[in-house]
Amino acid sequence: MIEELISMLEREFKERVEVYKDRGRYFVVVEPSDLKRVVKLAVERGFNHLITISGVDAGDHFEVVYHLKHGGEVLNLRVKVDKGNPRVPSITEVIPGAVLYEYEVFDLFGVVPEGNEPPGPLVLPEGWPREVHPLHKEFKEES
Amino acid sequence: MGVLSWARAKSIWVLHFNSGGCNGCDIEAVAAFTPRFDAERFGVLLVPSPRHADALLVTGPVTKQIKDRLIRIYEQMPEPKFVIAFGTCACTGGVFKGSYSTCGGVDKVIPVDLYIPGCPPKPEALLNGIAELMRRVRGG
Repeated sequence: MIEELISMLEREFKERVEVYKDRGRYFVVVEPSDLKRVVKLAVERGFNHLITISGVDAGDHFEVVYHLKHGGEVLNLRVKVDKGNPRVPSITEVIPGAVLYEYEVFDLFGVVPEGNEPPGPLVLPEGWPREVHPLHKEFKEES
Repeated sequence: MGVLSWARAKSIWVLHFNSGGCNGCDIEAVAAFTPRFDAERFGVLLVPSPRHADALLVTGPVTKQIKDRLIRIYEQMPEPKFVIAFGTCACTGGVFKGSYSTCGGVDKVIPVDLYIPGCPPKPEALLNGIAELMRRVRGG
């Protein structure tokens, strides 16, 4: 099932996607501009359970990872995000349930979901400065 | 020992407040008020309002979100008032120490009279703490 989808993605997006397998799980590195289409294709083929969206501070860039599930198989879509202007397209048009996950990634990493801009903090306490994101590697607790 | 402190020591009313703990301490604290441990035999009972409370039983590491609410509840209690930090998180911040969203213990926010460590502490530990508190109220 997942192999079909992977080979279709490789056919469709050619060198714009990079596929590898790690400990039995497929990872697909996707361009931000392709993200919505890739998610849509995956959802149409049964990968419609969004487990979560996670963020990674990889040093010189951020990464946003979308974990989609179908049966016992998990598809992980990795999107590299520039640290200077961290933005990804929102996937809420395809998966409405992604709203809160996107807010959470914004709170903790500052990656703005374009088209689903967070109105205020979700997981951070009230009054937390909007430009400070605690899961950045350079974040230091003041106390 | 005056009649007032005698009366007070025999009727310490407790308000229970979870400041962001995992609920483990809360289960043990509430167990101390069940018939098996029966804290009520010392005149200790749980009350629903800070305005009726003599002691504030705080569990959890005090998240930054709840800090202002905890201070507000503390300020609503009539004097004399006592604060019991119940559990390791409430005493020192526990496993949450150094986290970006917690204050690291109740005593960072309001003055604490009694520390009961443990993760979670046994109901017996709370009874021991209550006995100690009664001793202090009596002035001995």
